[in-house]
Amino acid sequence: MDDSWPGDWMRAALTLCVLAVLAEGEAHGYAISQRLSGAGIGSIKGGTLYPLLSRLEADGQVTASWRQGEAGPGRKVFAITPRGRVALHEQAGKWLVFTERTNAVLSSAVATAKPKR
Amino acid sequence: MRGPVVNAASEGLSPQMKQYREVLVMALRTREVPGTRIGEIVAEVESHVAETGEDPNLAFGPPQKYAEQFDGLGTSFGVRGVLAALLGGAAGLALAEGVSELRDGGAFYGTSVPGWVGILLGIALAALIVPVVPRRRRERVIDPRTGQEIQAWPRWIFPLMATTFLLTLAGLWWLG
Repeated sequence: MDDSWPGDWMRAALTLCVLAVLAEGEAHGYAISQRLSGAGIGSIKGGTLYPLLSRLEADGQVTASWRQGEAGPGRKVFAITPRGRVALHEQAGKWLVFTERTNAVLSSAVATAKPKR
Repeated sequence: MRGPVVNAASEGLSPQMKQYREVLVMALRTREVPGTRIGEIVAEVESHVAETGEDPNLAFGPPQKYAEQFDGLGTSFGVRGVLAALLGGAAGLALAEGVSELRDGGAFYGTSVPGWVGILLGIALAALIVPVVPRRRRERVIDPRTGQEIQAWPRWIFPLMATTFLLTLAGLWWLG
């Protein structure tokens, strides 16, 4: 299964997915991207992830702190805030409705539009 | 194998990362991103790359492009830019005329000001450019992991500036 989804699909879903990962527990950047790639969403580059996280921080949905690493320089650990949880709950709910509807339209399209030989 | 944690942030960086950091800091300063924010951005890149072992150019894109998405006060040229250019021009003229007076014994712009004073005036005018440069661009960049200042000027820049200055004076002397 090819793990590079279209960029605009990713852009639409990524912020919510990152919030959802953080709702499971605080994590640093690399752990977040591993969790997402493990879920089949694709490999998120640092250059996409950190600006997204800093926008979430600016919105008050996430907080960040530097934790000392065992062997080397520290890691920046991100945690969801109550405000972030509210936003996630609301938006994820809407997303599920949206995708249910698009899935319905697309399922019938996939079923009927069989490629002609 | 690693030294004390306090210095681990800047030592043990790959040459690639050092280079990336220099360009990134310069690009962010140019966009007038606050110094503390620059420190955060750089530390994020370094700590991520330290863990994944990736090339920062691949993980974050070219440093100048990466810097573009961060908001600063902007890159406007503005009044300060014009003032800096005027000071630079005036400094150059004072230096040239001062050197010329020393060499040929003429008058410093028709006055009896000695050449030395002209050269010092030129240096003073050039030094005045520094406070004119927007403060943001000169802010200290602090690494949030260590609290230490990130030195992101390429090490050769000060010898280069000194050499350029001396060569300029020499040039003015021999070619003037």
